[in-house]
Amino acid sequence: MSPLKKPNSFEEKLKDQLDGMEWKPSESLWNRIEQNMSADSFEPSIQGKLENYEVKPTEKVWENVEAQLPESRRKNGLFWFGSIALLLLATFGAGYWFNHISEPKSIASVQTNESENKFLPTINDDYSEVVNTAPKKAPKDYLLSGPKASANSSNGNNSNKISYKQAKLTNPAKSIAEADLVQTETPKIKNTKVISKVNAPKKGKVKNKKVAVASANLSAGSEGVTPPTNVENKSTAVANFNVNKNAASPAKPEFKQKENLDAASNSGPKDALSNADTSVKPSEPKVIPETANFQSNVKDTFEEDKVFRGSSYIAPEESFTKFSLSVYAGLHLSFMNLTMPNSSNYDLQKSYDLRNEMESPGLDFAGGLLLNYHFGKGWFASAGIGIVGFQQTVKFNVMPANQTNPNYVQAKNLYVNLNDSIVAGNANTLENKYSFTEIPLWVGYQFKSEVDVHIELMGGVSYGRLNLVNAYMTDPGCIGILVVNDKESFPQFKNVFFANFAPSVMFKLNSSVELGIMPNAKISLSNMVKNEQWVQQRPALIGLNFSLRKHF
Amino acid sequence: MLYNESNIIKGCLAGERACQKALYEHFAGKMLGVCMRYAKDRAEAEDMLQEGFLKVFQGMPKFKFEGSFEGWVRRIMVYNAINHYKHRSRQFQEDLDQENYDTGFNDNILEKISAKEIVALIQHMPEGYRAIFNLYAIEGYSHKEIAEKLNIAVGTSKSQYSRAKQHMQGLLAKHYQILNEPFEEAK
Repeated sequence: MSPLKKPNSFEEKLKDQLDGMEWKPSESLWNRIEQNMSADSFEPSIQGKLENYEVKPTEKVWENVEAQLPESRRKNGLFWFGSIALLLLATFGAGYWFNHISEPKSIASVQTNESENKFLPTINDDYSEVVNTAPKKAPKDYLLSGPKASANSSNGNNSNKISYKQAKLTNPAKSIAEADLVQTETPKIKNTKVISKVNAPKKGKVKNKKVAVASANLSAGSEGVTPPTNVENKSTAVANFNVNKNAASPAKPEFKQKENLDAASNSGPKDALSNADTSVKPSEPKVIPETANFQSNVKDTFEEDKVFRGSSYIAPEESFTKFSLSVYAGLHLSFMNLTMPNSSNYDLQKSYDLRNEMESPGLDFAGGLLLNYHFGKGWFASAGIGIVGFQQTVKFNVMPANQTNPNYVQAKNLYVNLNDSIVAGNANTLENKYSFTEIPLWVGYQFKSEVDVHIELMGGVSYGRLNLVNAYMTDPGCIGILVVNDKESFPQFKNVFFANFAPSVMFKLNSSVELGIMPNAKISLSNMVKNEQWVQQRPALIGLNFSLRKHF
Repeated sequence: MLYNESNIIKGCLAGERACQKALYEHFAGKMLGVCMRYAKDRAEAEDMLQEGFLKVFQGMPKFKFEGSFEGWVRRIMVYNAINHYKHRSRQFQEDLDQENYDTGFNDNILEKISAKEIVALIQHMPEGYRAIFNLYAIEGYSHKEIAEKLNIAVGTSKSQYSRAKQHMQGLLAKHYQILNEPFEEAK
């Protein structure tokens, strides 16, 4: 009250009258208050009662949930693993099948160097002229038959190109001298293609026109002759060799020929044969029967094959196509090269330095499949598909961030240790993982050697499609760690190209399979961070792969 | 698989089925308990649970790693249950029950009734009452939050809850009364 105002005025009188006045509340007021007070305890009571209430659901719920979930990555992995395993099994199986089904039981040698086989008699490679005297047309088919009618040959579209399995001729002179290849059974020829039931020579392997023919079973006697069946081709002729026993030196074989197989079969083997002695010009390709000293139970082993090939005219690799398949797998130490961006809206220097301290190389694996094409002279190219992982260990300590304000570049929910300063240390560990599907295109060179071990150099580029990102990187203010769970999350990642170098040591396990030990190095040619204002990353690795290569 | 929340969450984020199953087994019972309160019966609750877990797995990349993971899962279940309710397009007014259950409820009754019985009574509430009662009394949402979730006015939420609560207390009292009625032997 203002001191200028007079006391004892209206207000004072009113106050005196109202002081001490009482009002009796209604009867329901307390009930309402009481009800409200009890209401406060109702909700907590019922909450507490239901807090741990559980009901076990039926199995069907999970089945329904699982049915609507996408395929798990584990199953995808199994699918791919299974697919690759199946592919490898099919490939190796096919290789085995081809190598063994077509393995000849008798041997014919292919002569490529006449000078080294001067003792061999020759015959004109134009068999249609020499062998066949059939009047109507020159046959494309001919049969060179020994006692077992085993040395047969084929003449497809190109009668000059005939391949035979090679034979080991131990004593050519004696062999020739002892060779008296008289047709004792009437061979029957069914078609114009391959006649031989003995040899199924590989296609396109022999290009020379000089052919030596031998039968593995040309040892004395003609017992157990098993002539072919079915005569259906009249143009087929039988060549019968009578080798001059005196021909220790280059001999000219007598070349007996049957004109018509039908006639031969009708009149008996010997009668049916009309001898057609043929003098063969020395300069022309020769067909030489090789008979003597063939072991009746020639073992068809790689060792023997190799020994023989060493003195023959066919390089071992010519037994295979130009393709081979490799599977490789191994471990490596993976690095991540960090570089500062050229320009940035963020102050990244502190976090860049911290990341370099926090991140250390980690072990990861790689594996894949390569299809190789061998050009010859040691060069080959490889392409295929693989997977390569890069992993870094992230170690750090955290401290209360009471002095520095966070400098988030993304929403808070994308960070862990949101309110902590991140510093270098070993208290906490996370792992950065990146996984690429790799499509390599490599070139290689083999340093050939006489032994079963040789060295190869491989190098090239590969395209790396980034499949998996699970990375942790510090905030520019080094408070909180940004979690990146996929390649589209900030700062976004992109696919890269790798440069690869892989010298290797290859061990020959058998004629077609090689085991390789392959140290390798790989570095990304491009940066894998899409946001150019963020710290840039280039993955690299050094490691050791093991490979298995199968030639076909 | 032992439940290690951090590893399980990482596994779920990587899409590993074993981790998803482990997560489900860890939370399924508790979350079905939540769904039971919003559903009219167990079958509907299991439907809600199924939908809820699908949303959990699909929404895991959005989990902020802040607060409890169980709370996050529970919120998804509750939101899903509310959506279930809203899709039925029922109006609160239809559920208004003018029956006065003010039959002497007191807090002692709650102590003598099991959780299972309480859930059964909640399931007997009209749907409109049930949703608001669950959200306010059990989940602890404010009327403002409830109004936003259910697209109703705050005042409507308050008045509806008041009635729902009265209804529930009446049900509790009646149930308790039935349980404690002296058994009369058949004559």
